[in-house]
Amino acid sequence: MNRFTSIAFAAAAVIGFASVAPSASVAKDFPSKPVQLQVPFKPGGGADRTFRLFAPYLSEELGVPVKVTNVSGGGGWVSWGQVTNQWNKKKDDHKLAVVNIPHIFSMLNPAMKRKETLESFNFLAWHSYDPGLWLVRWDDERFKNLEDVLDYAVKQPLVIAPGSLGSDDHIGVAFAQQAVPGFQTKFVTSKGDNAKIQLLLGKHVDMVAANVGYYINSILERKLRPIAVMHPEPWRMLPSVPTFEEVTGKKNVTYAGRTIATANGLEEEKRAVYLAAIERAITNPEYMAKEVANKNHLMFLKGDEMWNMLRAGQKVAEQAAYWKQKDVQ
Amino acid sequence: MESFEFLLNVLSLSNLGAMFVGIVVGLIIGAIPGLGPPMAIALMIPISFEWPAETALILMVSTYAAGIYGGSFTAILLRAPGTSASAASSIEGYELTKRGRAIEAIRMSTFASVMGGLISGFALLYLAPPLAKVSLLFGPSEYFVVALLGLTAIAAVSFGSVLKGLIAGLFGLLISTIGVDSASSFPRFTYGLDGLYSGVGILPAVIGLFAFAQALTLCEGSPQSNISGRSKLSWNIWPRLSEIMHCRWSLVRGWVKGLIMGVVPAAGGSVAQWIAYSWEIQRGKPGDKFGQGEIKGLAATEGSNNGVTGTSLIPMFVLGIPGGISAAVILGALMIHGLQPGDRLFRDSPEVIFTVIWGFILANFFMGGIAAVLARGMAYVTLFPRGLLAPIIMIFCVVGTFAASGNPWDVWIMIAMGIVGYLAHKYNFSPAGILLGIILGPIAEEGLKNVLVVSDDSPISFIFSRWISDVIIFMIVVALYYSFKPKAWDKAVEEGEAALAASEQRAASEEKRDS
Repeated sequence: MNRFTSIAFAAAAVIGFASVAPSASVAKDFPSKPVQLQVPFKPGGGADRTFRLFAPYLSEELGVPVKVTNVSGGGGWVSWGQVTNQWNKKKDDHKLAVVNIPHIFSMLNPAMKRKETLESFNFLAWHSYDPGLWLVRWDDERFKNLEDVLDYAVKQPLVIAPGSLGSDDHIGVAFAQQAVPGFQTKFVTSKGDNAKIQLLLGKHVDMVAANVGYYINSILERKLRPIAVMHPEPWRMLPSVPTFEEVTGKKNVTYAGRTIATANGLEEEKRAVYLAAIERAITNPEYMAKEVANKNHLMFLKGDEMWNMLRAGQKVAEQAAYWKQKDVQ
Repeated sequence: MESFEFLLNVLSLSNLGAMFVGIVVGLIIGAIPGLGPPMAIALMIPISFEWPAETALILMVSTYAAGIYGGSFTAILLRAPGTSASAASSIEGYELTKRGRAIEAIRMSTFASVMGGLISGFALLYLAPPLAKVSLLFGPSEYFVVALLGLTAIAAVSFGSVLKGLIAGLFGLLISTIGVDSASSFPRFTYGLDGLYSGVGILPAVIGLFAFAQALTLCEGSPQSNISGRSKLSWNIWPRLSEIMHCRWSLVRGWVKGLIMGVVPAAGGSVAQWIAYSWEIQRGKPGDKFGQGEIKGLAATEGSNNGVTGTSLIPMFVLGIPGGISAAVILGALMIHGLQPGDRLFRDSPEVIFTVIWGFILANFFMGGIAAVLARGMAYVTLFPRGLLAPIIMIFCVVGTFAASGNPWDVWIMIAMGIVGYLAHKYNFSPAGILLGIILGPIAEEGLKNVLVVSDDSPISFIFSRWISDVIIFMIVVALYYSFKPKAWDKAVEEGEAALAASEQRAASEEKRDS
């Protein structure tokens, strides 16, 4: 082998990768081959975990293997860009995509320069729902309830860990800043719930804005105290925790939700097959029990109910408009 | 000790079987660039969720320990690190391979990794609760200064050209700013391209800068020649006592740095190895050949990256705060099995947690034995002709990068970083400096931005008011001092030796004259 052939071989290996494309085939019985469930984040995260648990049950209903793939990057947009702009109703009919709410509302931020709207997605069903929750340290004498926190924040800035700016947790705080006059904040950004718990327990921040699921354990351990839930009524996992609205009279509903979408223009019959299978899999008692252990709250919605929820979510994101805040720009 | 009674639980057939599978999968997955332990562990969750919790978790912690060690095989043998935690090992390790000392490098790596993992495992067993509290001390200011400490390693990995090293480091820092800024959600240097929104990930950067660049370097020179320049390899895989004694303090320093950095969330093996490595170079003695195959450097990096493994599980088990990506995935598995991290885990389910910790310790022990068998075979890749190795490495780089994220953009980024790494290596611009900038840039930036927020724009007084930051700053000063001291010292030694030689020559000539 001379030097040229070894370079040519190497180049062919690289180019070969780029030219591999999924083959198109439409059989009579649908689905006729394994279905790909595309998660927009890396393996190991909350979304990945939930859909890896879900895949075997969906597979049972569809009668073909369901393979979870991860296409991460761009806060989800590498995957969602493919779903909305590249997926073809014929070629990609064996693909499903996880779409996270309110993460997709980053498309409303003018800096992101995205052309998509909610209607760019072919949503099938809502899968899970986790309401916003504010927490302080269990032993923090300054804050017994939400009133204490709001009083404090009017006198001096409250140091909050909302994860990254633009997250549902941050939107909830941004909304509260509009609802409560004089509410002063300082944001300590971080990646993931683990970092938030560490910042709060280490007394680096006064409060975290998060979602219920991940924090149930810290509450049961009496390390963190929940002070308000961002939901229209008290959340059944935490019945004694007041809603933001109950305390302030102002509505503040934020949540992390997961939906499942498919290729645009997919035939109605195929759509119906997916939808029925998803509904049966989500309500499978064995799967439900696994998600209870996983602290993930399942919520199946379809059709108008799902679209109403999506549009309401978009409205909250538009109203909060975190990208217009001074400290964000 | 109460925990001893659980040691026997590990010895059940199913637990030992899971451990064996975990070790073999970890060693193989770890050795392939791009396929790291987090991905392997994530794939194991659905497979193992019907198993008893301790068996499933033993499978995962064994994969984790073996995966970090397995990454070193390809780092040492091919300069193609399998995981980001073994990038530093590729520097001295590959230089040793080039000099035909691959087996010596592998056996030092095995000893350092196995012992590092064992010590880290015992730290997990006995020191978990107090060490978990240390992780809480790390706030914005500490993250910022730890990143600065890591960046001082640039001076050490520049090998003679500090200016070029700094240029490489700054280039890495610049690259690390690409993507959506988490503090403002503002896309930086993305030029409207979807693929750049998530920036340059550590994985494509490591694979590109080291593995792909190495494949390009192999395309130079005769395609028939091999890396080691030898046709036979030593069969002695067990380290000699003299080798261990020669590196004893480097090993200890590597292990200690691994143990400490494991407890710091988000730092982990990819930072610990560089701190350990630069510390060794700064403490180098005359005669040490850093950058040209110094086994002490390899002992420290290999000791540190496996020293991290056990302690990174401590904040995860005790506080529910994982120390790294692999620990985060194991946390997910823990929760799916109905277990909750925290004090209750140790109180209510000791049979699970202590069995898993003993499983981790035994996995490190057995890993050495299994690796000894595998290493012999794997070391033979250094006898392959370059014309065959280069394309094979490229294929693994492309497949591994794509498998990790499913994002085709990452593959192009990896190839671009590969070309950068090739040129940097050729013109002595430290690819390690670029990688340090990419790894530490986001940690430093987020830390600084958060310090500015919480300190009302008076960061200096805020940082100095925190004792743990002061300790880290002291370490930065010491690191910088040692970075410059050896040169003066070397000069003095050189002058002294020259003077001695001159006086001996004089004495000899005087003797001659006298006779």
